[in-house]
Amino acid sequence: MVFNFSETVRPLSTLRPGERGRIAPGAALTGRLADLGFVPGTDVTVLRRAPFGDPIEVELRGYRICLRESQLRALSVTLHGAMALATVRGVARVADGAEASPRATPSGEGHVPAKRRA
Amino acid sequence: MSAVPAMPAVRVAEGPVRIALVGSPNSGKTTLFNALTGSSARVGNYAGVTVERREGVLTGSHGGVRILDLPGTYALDGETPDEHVVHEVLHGAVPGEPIPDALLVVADATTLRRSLALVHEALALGRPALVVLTMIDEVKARHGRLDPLALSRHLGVQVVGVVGHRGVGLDVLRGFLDDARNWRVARVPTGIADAGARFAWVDRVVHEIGADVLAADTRSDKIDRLLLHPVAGVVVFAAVMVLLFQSIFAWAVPAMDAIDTLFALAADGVRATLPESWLVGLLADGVIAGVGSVVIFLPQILILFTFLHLLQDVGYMARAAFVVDRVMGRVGLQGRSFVPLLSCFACAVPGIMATRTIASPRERLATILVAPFMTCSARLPVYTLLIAAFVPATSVGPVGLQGLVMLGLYVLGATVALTAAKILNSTLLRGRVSVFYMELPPYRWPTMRMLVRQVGQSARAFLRRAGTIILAASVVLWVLLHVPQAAPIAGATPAETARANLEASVAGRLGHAIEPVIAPLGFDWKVGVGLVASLAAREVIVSTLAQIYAVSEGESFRGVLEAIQADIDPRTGRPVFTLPVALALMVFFVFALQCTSTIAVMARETGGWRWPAFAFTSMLLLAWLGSFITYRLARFLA
Repeated sequence: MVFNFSETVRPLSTLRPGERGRIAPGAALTGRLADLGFVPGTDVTVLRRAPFGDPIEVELRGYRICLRESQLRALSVTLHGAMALATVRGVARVADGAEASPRATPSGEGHVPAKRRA
Repeated sequence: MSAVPAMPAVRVAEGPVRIALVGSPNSGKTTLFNALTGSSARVGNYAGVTVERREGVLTGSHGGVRILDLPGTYALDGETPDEHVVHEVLHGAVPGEPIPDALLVVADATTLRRSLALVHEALALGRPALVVLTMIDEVKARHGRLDPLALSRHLGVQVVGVVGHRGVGLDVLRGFLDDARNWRVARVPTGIADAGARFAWVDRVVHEIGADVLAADTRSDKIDRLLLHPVAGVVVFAAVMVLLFQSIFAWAVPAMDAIDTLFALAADGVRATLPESWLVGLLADGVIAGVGSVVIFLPQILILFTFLHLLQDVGYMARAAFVVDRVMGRVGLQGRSFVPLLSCFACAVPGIMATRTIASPRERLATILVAPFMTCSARLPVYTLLIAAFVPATSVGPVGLQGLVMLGLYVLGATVALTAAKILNSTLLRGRVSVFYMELPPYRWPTMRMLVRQVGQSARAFLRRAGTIILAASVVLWVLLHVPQAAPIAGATPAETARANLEASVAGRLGHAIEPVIAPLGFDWKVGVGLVASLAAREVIVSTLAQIYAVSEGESFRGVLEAIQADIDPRTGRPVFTLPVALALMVFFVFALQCTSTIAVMARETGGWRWPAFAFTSMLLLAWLGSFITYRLARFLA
């Protein structure tokens, strides 16, 4: 039996500010959260909680939106192993490289050059 | 076959082009609409629903291009009334609302990876369309890259970039709008079944035009670190709200006094120039005084709306709602309910108008229904009079008792409002659609032009109401208070004649008629007349009592104060007004919905008379109950 230590699945509401997860397969493809772009495979970063703890501001698809904790509880995200461990140990976050956060990019230099289809 | 009268296409081409604006909330759609239509916008409601309908004519098009600003929506199949209207209009399913000839699809250029989803949904309808990218200046400021031409090649329709509030790109857009009938129909994939597939398409398009990376808005981030800080954020929030509260009271007073004087002068002028008759009375005391009693709130409303629009334009309004949402959520409201309710301390009319910023239908209705409980400034004259007359000017520790009672009335009103919201949410409003989402827009400098226009619109809406409904109510009330007249008494002073006339009038008889109902509260027929009169507007009770006690004009406040203190019931030989009676009367005013303007604005904002009728009745019952308990309790304790 093989345990997969590299990924943990958690409700999005449990992420702390600064943590990022990827929406797990199985999230609804219709409804308001889906319309807002919360579809499987989307990276979501928790930015901050309101002073009294709720709502929560998150960033996804290069934009930000505030939702209540109760809404984010319904969304499962996978934390990438390296990130999750780094957070636990308190060491610097290891960039997973798959999709750089827009916030982490200091200028427009990091973007992928446009490709034209024939 | 030649009997067919006209080809549909020919018939359509004769009228004005009708363009619908489609876009998500905060996409800059309304700013764009205002910039394109100038002052021609007409605001109304869709029949039978509370959704605002805004239509205007493209300035310079001489009526040739009509623009319909549809409510903001994240998708075209949503569940709220707003979203439902968008869907129905786009499918030509609203009676009397022709299907738009073309769609102007608005998308925020800084949130392309989300907003293109709605663009796709709109374009897939297969109608002639044009896409407007707003806030393109922010893309540049955040080191992003966006080529409208590249996007245009992907979508198959024209794409125009604008900065709505600065007017950048609007000339180009106007050129296209004149030619809307010749817009292309988009070439976008149809048959996309769900949001997953749609966002996959969006990601591909954004990636291919190279627009997918945008640096963070560092300026807004820095400000937010302070304004949304767990401690500093709350302090700033409290400070802004105190300032708002302070401004509508302290700063408005000189202007309100001036308006008061102006209307009194006008009434005197009418009395002095015209020969004495009932018409003069109607004009001076009915029409002029009635309208004046509403217009007096104009300074508060101007200051309030300037403040609210300023907070909105710089981007703080959403932050305030974000900070306070947890607290409001406890009673089933939303952060967006806070500022409208706070505005009700000035007047419930602008407060209820301000609930339009609440996107969720259930929370909006709850906020409207509890708004009249907040202590509005029309209650102040009543409280001031009764407190000055009956609450001893002693101190409880370092605090004056009179001030304490006043504070208690404010706290009581707010507590009742929040409790009522909680109860309504778990009973009557249970099961209504409730949505929650909130965006914190980037901080921006406000533009004076926009501010002036928005405040002007709000003030006009308020004055229009004063000019129609309030005017009608004032006239009706004046007639009730003056018809029929009593038989002339020989040797009576004018004040005594006025009193006799009042007692003989319909309102006077009503006061007597309701005496059995209000007797358990400690009120006699004179208070009854005051209550009947105050149904039009609360503060009217003061001037009505002045008439009942035959107080000569010009000294109504002090005169009434002394008269009610000295009034002895001939049957019992005891004072009519005592501290328990005064407290009961004040509690009555905390609960009762005695305000025709509030009822009228409620009807407008909830799309019918059902909810105002419910609010009026239930609040009247509560008022009776509250007064009864207060009266009995106070007598028991005294």
